[in-house]
Amino acid sequence: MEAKKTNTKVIIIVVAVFVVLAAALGTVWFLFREKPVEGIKNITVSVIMADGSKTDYKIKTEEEYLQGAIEGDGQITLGYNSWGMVGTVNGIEEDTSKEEWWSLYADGEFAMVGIGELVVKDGGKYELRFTIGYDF
Amino acid sequence: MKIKDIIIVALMSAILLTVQVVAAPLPNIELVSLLVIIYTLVFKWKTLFIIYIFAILEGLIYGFGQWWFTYLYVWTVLFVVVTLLSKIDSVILWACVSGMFGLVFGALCAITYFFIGGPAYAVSWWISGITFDLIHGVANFIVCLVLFKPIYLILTKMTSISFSRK
Repeated sequence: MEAKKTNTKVIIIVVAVFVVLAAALGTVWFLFREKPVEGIKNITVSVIMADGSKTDYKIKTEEEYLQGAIEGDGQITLGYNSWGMVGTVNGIEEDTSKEEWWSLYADGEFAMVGIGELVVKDGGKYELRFTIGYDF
Repeated sequence: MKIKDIIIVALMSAILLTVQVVAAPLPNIELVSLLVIIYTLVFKWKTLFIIYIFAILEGLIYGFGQWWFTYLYVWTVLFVVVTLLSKIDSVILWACVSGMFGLVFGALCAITYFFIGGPAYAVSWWISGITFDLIHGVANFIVCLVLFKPIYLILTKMTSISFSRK
């Protein structure tokens, strides 16, 4: 009986910690997340192939996120795989069986969010890299 | 360890690797946390063998990059937490543990980046991935809530026939 009571206590504590932790993390995200920037932004999007060849596209956009900026501009065509991630760029489709995929970089850093959540900044440089292998 | 135990450890490691690879394209939705929790409850300390075989196999598949060093301790942290709570029989408890593990996964990985690039690098890396941690935490909670019982039952049944649980 006593053990059952202790177990119930532990379960309640763990549930409470989980809820508090989720709320704390949500708060940190809300406070520190990158906020969208209003107005016209001039950005550069580069498409880089596996052999290193690179094509730059200058885009002027009022969109807040990269996906909208690229799709609204129309110079680069994007296709999405079944997971909703970029799987095709300008007709070049990834073959996941060969560990091919399109990786996304913002100002030289690997993007930690998807193209739909990547905030566009004026003067920003973005890269869509055709990547082979997962050790990059 | 008996031969049977070695076979089960190999089999469980293979299953862990398979579910990781299959779910890899899903952003932070995974079954590895759930399986590590169940393995710890069923196989006790032998789970450590499974965890490290899994880590080595992951390295062989994806390459031994910076991320790989996080695999040397993150799953062990989960193993330790589950071991400490293993006397309690509650699906809600394991769902919350799995959810919490998902929430702190980025913070745990940031420890490696602290040593590689310093505190500022580790914190910015962690903050930039919080969206993923939140998805990871919620997904882990739901996955565990739904799949814990059936998988636990299958494994306990299987091990009662063939595996030494000492």
